[in-house]
Amino acid sequence: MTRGLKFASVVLAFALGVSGQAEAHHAFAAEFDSNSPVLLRGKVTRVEWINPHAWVHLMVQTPGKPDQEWMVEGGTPNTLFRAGINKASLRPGTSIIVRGYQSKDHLCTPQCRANGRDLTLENGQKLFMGSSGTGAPKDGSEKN
Amino acid sequence: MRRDASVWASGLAAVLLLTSCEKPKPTLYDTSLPVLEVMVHMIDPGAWAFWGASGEVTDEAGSKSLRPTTEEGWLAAENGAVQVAEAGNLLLLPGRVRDEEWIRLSKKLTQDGLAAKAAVEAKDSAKMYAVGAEMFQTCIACHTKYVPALQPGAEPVGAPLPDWPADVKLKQEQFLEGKK
Repeated sequence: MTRGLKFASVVLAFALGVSGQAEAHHAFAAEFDSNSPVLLRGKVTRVEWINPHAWVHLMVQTPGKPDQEWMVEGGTPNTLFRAGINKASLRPGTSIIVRGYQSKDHLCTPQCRANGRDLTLENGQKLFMGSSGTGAPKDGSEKN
Repeated sequence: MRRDASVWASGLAAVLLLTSCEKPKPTLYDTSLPVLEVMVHMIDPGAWAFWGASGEVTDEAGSKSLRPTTEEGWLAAENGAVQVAEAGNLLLLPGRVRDEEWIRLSKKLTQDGLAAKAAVEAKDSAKMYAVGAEMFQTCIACHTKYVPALQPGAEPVGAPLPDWPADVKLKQEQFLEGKK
């Protein structure tokens, strides 16, 4: 799904809200599956510091499987900066562990996609990388 | 007789005037398109055109700015900014306004769009980036106010995220210990 389409889904929800229909789609639900949690361990290959969402690309290495590239959506760059995630902490080659929810289509071409909830840096620092107001699951990670 | 006619004429005029008052006033605007259409076809593409013209991408080759490199690129960003600015006005047309907060946020959207246009005209990438972030906050404020599914407390409960691996947990604990 393109980013534009995802944003349009917010709009769809808006329209549904106006019309009073009970069922509404929203940004997170339009693209990501709140029942498909993932934990990704790999090295940062690329970061898109762009509004309204930063994207962190990482190469995930799983023993016995070919390397797989993932791109993980985060909050706005400003949100990440405030949370302590910046260009210095996400230099290409940095090992990170990310948790989040995979895209609804589960497609991995050209890369798998996920919405990021939090990540842990090499030094053990755990940081929130999501954003509010997008309808992302509220408490899937609270207990952890 | 003349006086009677005058009275009748006045009465008739009054009736006609009242009748004309009861007719629906012709409106200057046609807002038959739902707000959804304004969002999808104006605000959405406008905002994305503007957002995509600032920021950067970092990889092993270094850092690459997303700042436009051609006049066409700058024009596309400016077009997007103007679309957003004017879309704020469209949200204020009679029939679309919902309440005071709607008015405030619509005006804010226009302000953001105008600030975006000014930043593009100045070719000030840092300003564009900052304004883009602010614009998104306006969008979020509006969505969380008027989209039921995005209102605080309406978020879905997701499946629990995987637990951190033992070695990661240990590092997390060590990090926290080090901060004490």
